[in-house]
Amino acid sequence: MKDPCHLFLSSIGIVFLLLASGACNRGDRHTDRSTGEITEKEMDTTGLLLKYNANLFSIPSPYQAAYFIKKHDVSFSQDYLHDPGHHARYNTSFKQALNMGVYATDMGYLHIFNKDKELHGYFKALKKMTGELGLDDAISGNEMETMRRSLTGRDSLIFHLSHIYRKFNAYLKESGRRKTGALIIAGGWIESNYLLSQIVLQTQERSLLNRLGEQKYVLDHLIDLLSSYYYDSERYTQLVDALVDIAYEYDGVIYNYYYKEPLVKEDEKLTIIRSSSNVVISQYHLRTISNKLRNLRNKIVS
Amino acid sequence: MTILVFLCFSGVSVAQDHSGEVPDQCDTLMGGDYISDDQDYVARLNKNNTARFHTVFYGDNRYCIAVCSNIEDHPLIIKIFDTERNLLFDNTKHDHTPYWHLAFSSTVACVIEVKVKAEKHVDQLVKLLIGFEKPSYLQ
Repeated sequence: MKDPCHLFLSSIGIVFLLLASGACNRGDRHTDRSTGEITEKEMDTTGLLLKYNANLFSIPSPYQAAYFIKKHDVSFSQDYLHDPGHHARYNTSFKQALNMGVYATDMGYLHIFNKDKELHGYFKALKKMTGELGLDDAISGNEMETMRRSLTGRDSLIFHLSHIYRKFNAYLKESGRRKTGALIIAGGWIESNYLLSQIVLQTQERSLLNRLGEQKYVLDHLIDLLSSYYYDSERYTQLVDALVDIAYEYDGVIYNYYYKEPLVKEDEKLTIIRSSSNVVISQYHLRTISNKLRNLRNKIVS
Repeated sequence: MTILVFLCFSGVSVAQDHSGEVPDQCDTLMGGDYISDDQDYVARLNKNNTARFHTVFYGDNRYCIAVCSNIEDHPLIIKIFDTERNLLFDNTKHDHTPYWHLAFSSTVACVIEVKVKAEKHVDQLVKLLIGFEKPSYLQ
């Protein structure tokens, strides 16, 4: 006969395990600030468990590249941008998500160069793809309308774009679709660096060249972000392989870093980082990286 | 068994569990002049009560970082290191402020470490927002 105490303790253990699994799947109540709606969202604990080592890799906003290009008095060129009318050709969530990122980057670029008229076509494409990717519930009608109105306003579009894409990203994570969110981010990075590389090839502007060289670490982060999905399908495998292929070329880029003690301004809650860095990138690596970025970008928008 | 389950449910309902809730107070810390990255960075503290966020801050930019959580009993410790593990920022020297601004003249790859000092594992999420300041030459 089994020890009754052992049976009792085992029963408690089983009950707690059942309750814990239920607690992990408990919905997260979230109040939407713009509408006041309270929604229930399922937490993607699988994703959280994968990140249990608690290391996350960030990808900077693609709009930083657009601002940086503008700063250097580069002439605007529509030739580099993706045609918003092509959104109709994307019939898989893989292509739709990548091109959501592409179009967001192009919208930022157009806005920063004051090309408001051209923005409407991109907004229409973005709105259509939001529906196709099942992201309508991520934002309210008010938020989309606010963004539409900001197309002709000065400077607010970027705020609204980053706000909406953050909501998309959070929604995708909470609904167990992290890889779709990762693809949107990947599309944004690929497009912004494709634009940067084409402009560098044209202008040979030193600062822009350095900025392209500095993408070395960000690309490593992007590969880390996508590597979880490497074996999901051939398309993910090819995408990651293409990014790794570009990363190999970045191994030839020299990045020098020199630490200097920061300066703190307590009253401004500001630290001035005085450390310096520079990048040494050869014409060979510039051309090779630019070509590989162009090829990858053209593949994802085709 | 029914009594046992009832007791267990009672235990769970009394102890409020925020472990799965994503904190949402970070936005108010960011400030209107900053454009955030297109994603929130949310991580669960590991067994050492630490979460790490690897990022790149571009030169000629000013950033705001904000960190928030639903942890009530322990202040968040925020440290920023460069890739050589030099300490660039430590919020324990600034009253555990949950947000701070950083100005970079050169591009620096960094690790933002968020931790709590507790004897036991704090099974909670922490959220990091990173925003860059809209360039002044466009204002």
